[in-house]
Amino acid sequence: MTLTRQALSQSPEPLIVQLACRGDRQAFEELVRRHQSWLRNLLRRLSRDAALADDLAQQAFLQAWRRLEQLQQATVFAGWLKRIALNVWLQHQRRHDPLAGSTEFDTDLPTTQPGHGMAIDIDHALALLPPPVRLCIVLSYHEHMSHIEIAEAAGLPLGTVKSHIRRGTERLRQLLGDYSDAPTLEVRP
Amino acid sequence: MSDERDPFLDQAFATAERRLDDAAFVADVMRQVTARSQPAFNQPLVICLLLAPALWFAAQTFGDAPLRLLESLSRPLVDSPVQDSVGGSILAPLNNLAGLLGLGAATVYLAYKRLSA
Repeated sequence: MTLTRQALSQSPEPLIVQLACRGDRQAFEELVRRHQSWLRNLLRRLSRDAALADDLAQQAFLQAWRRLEQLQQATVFAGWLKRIALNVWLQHQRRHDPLAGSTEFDTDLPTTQPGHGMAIDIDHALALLPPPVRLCIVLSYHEHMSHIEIAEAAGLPLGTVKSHIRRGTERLRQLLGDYSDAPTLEVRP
Repeated sequence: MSDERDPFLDQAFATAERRLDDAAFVADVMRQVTARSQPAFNQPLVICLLLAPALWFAAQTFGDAPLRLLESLSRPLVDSPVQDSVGGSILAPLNNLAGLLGLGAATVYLAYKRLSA
């Protein structure tokens, strides 16, 4: 069974996932189209630059395409894709960042001045957090995952996750301090 | 700390979320998917096929090389009438190239150990 692009765009996700599992490239393209923005945003929050995040997102999608046969349930595609993306990011961190495991905060950092746009400023502020703390914060605030889910996904003890989130939250509030005084948060393109 | 999130950061993350343009990204991913779906050039198989005639030729030429090597290693270095005596039997393991090489290696090893101690 092959559906046209328009039909695919209106089809429920489990059906598209099933088609992609059978090697339907158009179906997989539709899945990429649906999830690319969310996945790239997630990796942009985790990584220090947008180009790297897009590169990692591409790797995640390619791994997903190769491993689609291993997906047991079509309904859990998004969570499965997220796990792949997190593994890609963690592997990249271990290979390229000598401070990947560090949880030390830098001191004497300037607070963010509102005006660049919240997306840029929040990425900037997140980049100043140690990678494990950043991961816990992003999974909590961007993905709305519970602490237990974060502990499982990040492979960290629950107590460590709670501590990272508490310290990371305090630090982010300091770094984004000037926004908390602003009456509303605004986005600039 | 419970799973509660800081309301300010919750709002900040929600505000920062942007819909990213999909056209170029999707095209890039699908280009790579298509490239990887092509029948792959089976490098190991091709190398084996190319090496097969060379290995066959080598096998023809050097097929009995291990036997010859063993033979030359175990051939007595000195032919003497004491060979058949009890003393000759005791010294027999040393009266060949293998024994000599073994003895040489043991000497070098012991000398190395002595010098590096």
